[in-house]
Amino acid sequence: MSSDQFDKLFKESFDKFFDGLHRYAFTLLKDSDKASDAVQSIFTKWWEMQTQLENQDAAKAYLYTAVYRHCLNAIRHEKVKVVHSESYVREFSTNSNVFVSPGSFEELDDQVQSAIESLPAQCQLIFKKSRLEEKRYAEIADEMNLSIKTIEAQMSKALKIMREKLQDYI
Amino acid sequence: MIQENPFDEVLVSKFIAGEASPEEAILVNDWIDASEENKIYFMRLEQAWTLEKNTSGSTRKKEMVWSALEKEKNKTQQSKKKLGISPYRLAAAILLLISVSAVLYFFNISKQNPSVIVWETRQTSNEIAELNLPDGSAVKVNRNSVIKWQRKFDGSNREILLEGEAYFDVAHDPGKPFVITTPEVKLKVLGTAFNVLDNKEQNEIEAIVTRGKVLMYTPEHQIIIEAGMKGIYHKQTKALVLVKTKSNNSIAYATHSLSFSSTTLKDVSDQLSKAYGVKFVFENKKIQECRLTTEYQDKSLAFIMDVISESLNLIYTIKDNTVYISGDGCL
Repeated sequence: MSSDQFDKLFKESFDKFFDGLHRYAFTLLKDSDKASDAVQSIFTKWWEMQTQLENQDAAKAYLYTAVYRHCLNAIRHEKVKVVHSESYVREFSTNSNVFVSPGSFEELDDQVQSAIESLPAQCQLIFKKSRLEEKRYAEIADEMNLSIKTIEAQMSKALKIMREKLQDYI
Repeated sequence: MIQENPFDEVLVSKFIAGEASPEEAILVNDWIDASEENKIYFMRLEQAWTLEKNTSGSTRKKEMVWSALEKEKNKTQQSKKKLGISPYRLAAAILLLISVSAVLYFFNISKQNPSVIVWETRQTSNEIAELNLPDGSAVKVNRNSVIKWQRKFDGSNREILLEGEAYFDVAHDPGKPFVITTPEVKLKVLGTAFNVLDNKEQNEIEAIVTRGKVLMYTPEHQIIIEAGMKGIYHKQTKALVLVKTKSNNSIAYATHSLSFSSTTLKDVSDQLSKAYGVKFVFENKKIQECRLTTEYQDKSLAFIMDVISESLNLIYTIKDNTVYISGDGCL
């Protein structure tokens, strides 16, 4: 492949797949800027390595896999446990502005909140673990002693019910 | 919803929850891209689900990433072609000359070993130093501080050593984290603006983040500090805590951004002293109790004093870094 052909495929793939790759990276990283960084760095890598790919389909498969790997690595490195134990919060509770926890339930929109509350108990618990505690399916399965397939099924049930409840809202 | 390509709840829920494999992600994205309707429906669903604003599909973001890529490409091409001295390189060379003796003094680097990382140093006494680092990051170093940085940032990280206080506006480079080491705690960033203070009086290290996110960590613990938050490392307990930033006045030496809300003139003058490196002398001590509510963005001291004198009915003069204030003020 000539370098002109490479440049052409590179540019076309960027135009065509950027949005989808970013969307995918966002689901993995939950942060739009980090998702952009991820997509940028896989394209940079592709350009640096000059990896030769036959056509757009091959490029698509290559890029999605690269985003997946890149994001999983980023998550592994960044899996940051905000350490502040109970005693700790108490120690500094004189300061009224102590930061408590990210993604608290109260910040949810009323309609979304009532849709979540309408979920069956188990389904709701799993949804909250995934959405609010940002746990992975495997972690939830492990904690609840269920199979990953069950978590998948419960999550898709949650989505189905939420879609119905939020029909007007969405 | 389109008919020929039905909405697959299992796949979409996996995708939104961040559990989709690359193959599954392609399927979901193909469905999303199949029609404008699907796209809008998905965006709303995702937003209701995650309650986070995803800017996927924003053309601005796409353009930004593309232009960043173009830059990267040019950089590699340029280094291949070995172009002559660019203005950036010239700037770096000048910086190097200024600080080379300090480097030798601090690290006693042997000239025989070129692989040794070369550190540069800048020490401030009664002045605030503004530096541009080799990667384009900007630093304002407050008074009585020492900062050291790698000459070329050619390691896997952009390494900085700091004693004292500095405000960093870090150039974005996701491939090369920006790491600041203080004697006790480290901070890591990808691209952001924030302030680090080794507060010896309080026996703690403070990091105020004004933009982006910063990771503050020790071998045992770590916290993520987001914009508007302050991370504190307590030297005695070795604990890391997050608190909300009440005001950014303490870093006004770097930002020149001050805001006061029913603040006494005494406190206002203390903040101005720190920000502009001046002393205040009050003819009538009572006027220090007058209160002020106002905001200044990047204004000169003279401008600020004009406004204050006008609103509190004072007279001021500035001479030899001292502000003399007289008048009856609000009394």
